[in-house]
Amino acid sequence: MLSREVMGALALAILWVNTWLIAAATYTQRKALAELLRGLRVARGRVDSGSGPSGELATFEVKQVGRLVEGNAPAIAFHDQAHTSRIFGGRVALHEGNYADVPASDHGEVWIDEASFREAAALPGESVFDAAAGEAKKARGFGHLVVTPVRSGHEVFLGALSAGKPEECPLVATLDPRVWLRRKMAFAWSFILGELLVAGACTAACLRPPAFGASSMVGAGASLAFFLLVQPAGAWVRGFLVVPSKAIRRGTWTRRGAAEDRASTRAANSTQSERG
Amino acid sequence: MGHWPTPFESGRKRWVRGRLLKHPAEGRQLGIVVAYLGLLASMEFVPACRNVAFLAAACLLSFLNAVVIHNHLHQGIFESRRLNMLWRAILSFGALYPASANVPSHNLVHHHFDDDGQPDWAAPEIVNFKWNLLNLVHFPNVAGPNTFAGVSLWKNVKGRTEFGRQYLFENVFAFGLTGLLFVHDFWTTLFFVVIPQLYGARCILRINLIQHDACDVTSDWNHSRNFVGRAFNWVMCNNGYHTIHHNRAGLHWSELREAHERDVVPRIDPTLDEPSMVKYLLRTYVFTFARPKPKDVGEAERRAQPLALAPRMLRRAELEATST
Repeated sequence: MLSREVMGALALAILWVNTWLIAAATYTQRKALAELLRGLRVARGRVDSGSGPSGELATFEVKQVGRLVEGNAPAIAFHDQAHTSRIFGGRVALHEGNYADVPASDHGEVWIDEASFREAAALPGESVFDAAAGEAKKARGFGHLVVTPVRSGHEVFLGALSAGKPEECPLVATLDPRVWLRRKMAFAWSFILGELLVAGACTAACLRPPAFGASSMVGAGASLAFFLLVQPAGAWVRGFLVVPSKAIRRGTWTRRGAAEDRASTRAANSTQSERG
Repeated sequence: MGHWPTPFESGRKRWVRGRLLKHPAEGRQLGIVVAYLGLLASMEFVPACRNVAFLAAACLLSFLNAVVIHNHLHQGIFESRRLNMLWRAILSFGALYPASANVPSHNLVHHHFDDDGQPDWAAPEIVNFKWNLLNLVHFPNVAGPNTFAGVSLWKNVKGRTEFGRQYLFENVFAFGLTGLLFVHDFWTTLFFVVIPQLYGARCILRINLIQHDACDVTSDWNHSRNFVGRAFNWVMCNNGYHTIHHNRAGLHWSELREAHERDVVPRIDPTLDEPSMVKYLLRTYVFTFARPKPKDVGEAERRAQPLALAPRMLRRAELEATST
């Protein structure tokens, strides 16, 4: 017969193997970000001119498909299909005082900050929503291309990524890539440490005497919850550490007008019925 | 001379004639689940059953319970829709995850190696340790959350309310029943029910890595690794024949071997027809440190006679139209 002690040791071993694997996977990603940072040279400036079709220096495009989702207000939720960085080339007035000519590149990366992407992806008007909703109801969904331009007057960071690539890859960013990389690396460390600490606390509670008593039971319950929750947490961190040119963006369009219309209709109806 | 059915056969046929089961072979799947639940119950309620043999058998049967989930979510085993939905809940308890998650995650996304332009939620590339054994152990930690996040987004799309209700029912049933068992006996449930449940759920996710790593998912006939041992496939309800299952998802599992030999064997690289899963696992994850590099497995396919196969998008659209 298998004793509780043997099974407890087995359960804790499973917990710790898993905990270390998730920590190691996060560490591997952190290491890749550190390598990117190590090979990164950055200059900051303002876009003077661009060679893109509408004078863009670069664009970041996300091909998305939108589908109508359940909710109080009509809404279309978007799902990323493909990410494309385009560097058309142009001229940037560097803050150091001189100009940098940016050559066009078909293998460069464009890192766009979340606020600029959200602005580009925002619902332009309710008539656009109504036109899109018909397609979004169908199985194939509403095809949508979010283009975030980097054009004249925009603050940019120019750089080159060399880690893990056969040749240097030009980088145009609307956020400071060094700060972004350092923050993500710090976050990865915090997650690893936090994860190990929580696993340690759960284990300590499990092992607290009397063996298999009340506090031990609380520790085992917490360990099970931790085992189940650390996996989605680890997967979320995995997505969080992906560089901005490849990170999943998604987004939602909500037709607020319709909800307000319905609310005002309901209010009017209830007022009428009260009067009646 | 006429064939007189044995009492067992006649009983089995009666089940089918009586429109309980859709196919006589489903008795094997029912047997697997009944044996599994019986083992869990015996360990929960009979102290003498809490031993290595019972625990190991429960873990194995838990994995097979997940195989039954897979088959059942492709083709419900009962004629009655209500029974099929109830059966999903029972299977969900066995694996501690809602069986209906297989509809979007497996039938729609995995079968086409594509989530609307993004990779399969359980693509082999989601793990990348240099030591390949770690990839096998770690794989469910990423594939599982990817799956449940993907299912949550998928079920929020308008028109999937019925799916959402069934999904919730399965969650409540699986976690509710497990919770009741915890109340009955906390430690026994944790060690002898939850460990087998999670073992099966995590192993079925690992199968995605085992069956597709180093294959060419862009090809029509070389996207999967098959395990073709006869005894193995009897126990696994023919889930070793994975290529043909991907390409003809509507084919009943009992017909896969014949279809594999007819359609797949002439078009597949022979190295993707593995005689033994155990040998493959030992060779790939234990006796070799590094992950095997993908090889050009499409050569056999290019040499063979072409065979008509509907495009993946069309196959997905057909499945989506009939899925709840």
